[in-house]
Amino acid sequence: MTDNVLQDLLRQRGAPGRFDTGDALPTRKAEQWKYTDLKRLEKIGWTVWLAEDVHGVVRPPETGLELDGAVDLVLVNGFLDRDLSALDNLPTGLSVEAGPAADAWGEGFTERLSDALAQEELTIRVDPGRTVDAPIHIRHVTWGADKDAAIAHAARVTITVGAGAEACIVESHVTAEGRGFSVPSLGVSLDRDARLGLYTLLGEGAQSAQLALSDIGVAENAVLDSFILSVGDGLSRRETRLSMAGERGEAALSGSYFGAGDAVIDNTTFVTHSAENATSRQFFRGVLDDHARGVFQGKVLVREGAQGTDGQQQHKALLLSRHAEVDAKPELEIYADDVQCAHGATVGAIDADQLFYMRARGIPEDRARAMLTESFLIEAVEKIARPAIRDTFRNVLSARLNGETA
Amino acid sequence: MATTETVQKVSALEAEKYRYGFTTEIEMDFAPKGLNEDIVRLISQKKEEPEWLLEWRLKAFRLWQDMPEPAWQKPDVPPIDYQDLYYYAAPKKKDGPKSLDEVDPKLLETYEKLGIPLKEQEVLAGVEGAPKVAVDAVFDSVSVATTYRKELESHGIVFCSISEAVKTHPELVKKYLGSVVPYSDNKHACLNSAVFTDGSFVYIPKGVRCPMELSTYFRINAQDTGQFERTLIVADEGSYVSYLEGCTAPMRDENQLHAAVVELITLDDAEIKYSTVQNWYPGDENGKGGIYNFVTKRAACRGRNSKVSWTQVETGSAITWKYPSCILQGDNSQGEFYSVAITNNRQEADTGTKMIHIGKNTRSRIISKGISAGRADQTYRGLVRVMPNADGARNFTQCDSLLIGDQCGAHTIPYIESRNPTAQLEHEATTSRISEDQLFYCLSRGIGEEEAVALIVNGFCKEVMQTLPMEFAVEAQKLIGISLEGSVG
Repeated sequence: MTDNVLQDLLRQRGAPGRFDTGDALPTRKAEQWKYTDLKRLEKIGWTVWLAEDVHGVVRPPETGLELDGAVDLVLVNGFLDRDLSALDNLPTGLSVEAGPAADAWGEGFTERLSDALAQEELTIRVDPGRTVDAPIHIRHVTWGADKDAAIAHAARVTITVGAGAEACIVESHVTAEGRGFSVPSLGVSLDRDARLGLYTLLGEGAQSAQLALSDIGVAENAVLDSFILSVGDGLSRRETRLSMAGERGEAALSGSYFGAGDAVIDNTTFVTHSAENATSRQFFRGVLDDHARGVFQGKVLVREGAQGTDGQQQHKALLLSRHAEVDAKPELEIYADDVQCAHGATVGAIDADQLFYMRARGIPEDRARAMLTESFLIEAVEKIARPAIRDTFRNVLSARLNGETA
Repeated sequence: MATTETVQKVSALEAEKYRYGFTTEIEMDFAPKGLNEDIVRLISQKKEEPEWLLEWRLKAFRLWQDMPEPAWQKPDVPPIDYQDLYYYAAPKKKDGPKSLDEVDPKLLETYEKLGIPLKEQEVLAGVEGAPKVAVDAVFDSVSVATTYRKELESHGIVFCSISEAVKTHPELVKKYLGSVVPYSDNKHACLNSAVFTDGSFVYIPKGVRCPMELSTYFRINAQDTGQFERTLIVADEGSYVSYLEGCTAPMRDENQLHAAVVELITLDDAEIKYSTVQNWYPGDENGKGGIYNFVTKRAACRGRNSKVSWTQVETGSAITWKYPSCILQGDNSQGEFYSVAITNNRQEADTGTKMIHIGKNTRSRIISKGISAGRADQTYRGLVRVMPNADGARNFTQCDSLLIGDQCGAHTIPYIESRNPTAQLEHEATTSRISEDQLFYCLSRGIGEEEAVALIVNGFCKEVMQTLPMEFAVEAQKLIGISLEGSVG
């Protein structure tokens, strides 16, 4: 490992992108990174996974998600694996292609990093007017040659849902072997009247780190339903940029996270309303145990002229340990007067009254705590609009929590 | 000819809107323009200060020179030419007034115009049985008069200008000055530490409940002056004081800088209630002129069961940039922040509070009401931080914004940080506008549109207005109406 992680990665990739030779990973002095410390990345010598490298994944690891008849698309270290993926007999109206990554995504640090590191781009299209019933499961797998291998990769996926089309996409991020520093970027565009369900499971191992980016555009009358379940043990930050640029568009961003050990879970959202009468709903629940840290930075920007906007944002967190920490920064920036915008944020402990009630009925304290924690997190899972997806995410969450308390 | 008429007409209109926009022709004693070590020494010398205070000022000045301008705020602050300001402007002394009768009548006239009850008898003559208010009046850089001295002294209360306190109670000033806001805190507080010229000092002894409201009126009069006052209030064990602060300035085309520092200290079981009605000149409709109000206000609740309550009504200033804060060190200590901020025309405000929970069972409550009209921009920025040992800490925050018109902005930026599993924090924020129904209801009952807006806005702010002392509440209510003139129709 050399002077700094960023320069080391850029050198391996052979592409400085839009970085200068003096640049490094952002520190907590930068407002956007105030609560998420990337220092732990510096201790590890990461190897950038290149197109010619060969992985040893025979079968993608279990995610716990049960998705009937799903179309599996398996990406190992950021590259589509054609043998592991179900590319034959794709449902009508769905097309999947892999090609070189090209776009410049923006000026933020994460955008520039993803631009510099991304090599391949997976493009998923749903043709206008088509409904794809089968869930499309994008399985991101980190694989290293042995348990100490530290692989850096940057998958890039773009999804276009044509006018009036409908689809359901599930993304999972898991580790097969070794540890990963991943910078996955996801570009989603919903054309007018389109409907998309977008559900994400983050479950990477303790030594891993993820700086994820999703950039979502919702056109006129389009409806997005999304949910993120973060139960990984490492550092994971997900920046979601949502643009409500079409009239009467609707978007739900929900998420539950559970952090234990030294986990850092950061949900950073930026919702921009630039069209009239659009609706956005953010609903997050988090529980932190041990030395874990939870971060929620949510921003709703209502531009001049975006009258009739309805933007709501809620984040609630529970701390279970004296060493856990949660930091929230729910932000509103509003330049139109005929709007309904509100946010709420709470941080607290498990309700003593509820605990007493359960213990009085003979439920042991540990069990009661676990039940209350689970039901708290499930409040956000309940926001998922598709029943089958809701059930399987609920099961994954329960399994994770029960594994934790056993 | 026609143009002159128009100009006159317009300026007459303007003057009506900001009724404190007059200047007082008075002989002033200025230090040369600009800022350097000699000016700092000169201020210190004029004030006949002890060596330690000069040293402190110089340390601050040296640090200030290297400090970068803060850049994280929402308002776009044009670069300030610190060398183009007078750092010391005082009404010329004529052998030092011994009593109020000897104070320059022009000054008294000014305060009369401002409606400050400088003379006790006037207060008494005004309304029978009216509560007494002791006033310390600060004109540009220096305190000109403090009333009700004798009565306060009989309770052992010290209420005087800070330069006087340096001479009469050096041990108190030395112990507490800069102990809540160190000179290195931020660029503006640092500048204030180097060049502060006056301000008020209050000490309430153990177990004393201050029998009257204490009040300071700040007035920027002279052109090109900056006002850098420093207020220090110490409430000793078991004491209580309610303190009011009001400010006005004449109308001028150029911007004037006001960088004050307020430090409050409460010991065991003590309480300070600090109320501000800030009505500095806001500039004209096009954003020309007005005061830059960059103030550092902070309270240290050092004692057990101590309490500090900040109430502010911010209607003036071109740019307001301040965060009255509470450091809740003592177990069971309490901090409160009640704020109404109104911005109209081109005004900008970036204001809020910080509540730092350190002691056990500390509680804080934040109620912020922001009203934005015209082309104004307003930001609530607040921090609630719970440290690992603050068991049982509790916070409740509510920030509501009201938008009047589609050209203005309202923003909410709260930071919520908790490192204790027994703490409970709640934050809520809403944004809305005056509903058509409410307006229609008022109009149909014969209430004029502007009056209706003032009525509705006053209702919106009621929770905060109720926390103001009575004399201030009446003034503040009127001020809300005046500030919003021209915002509808």
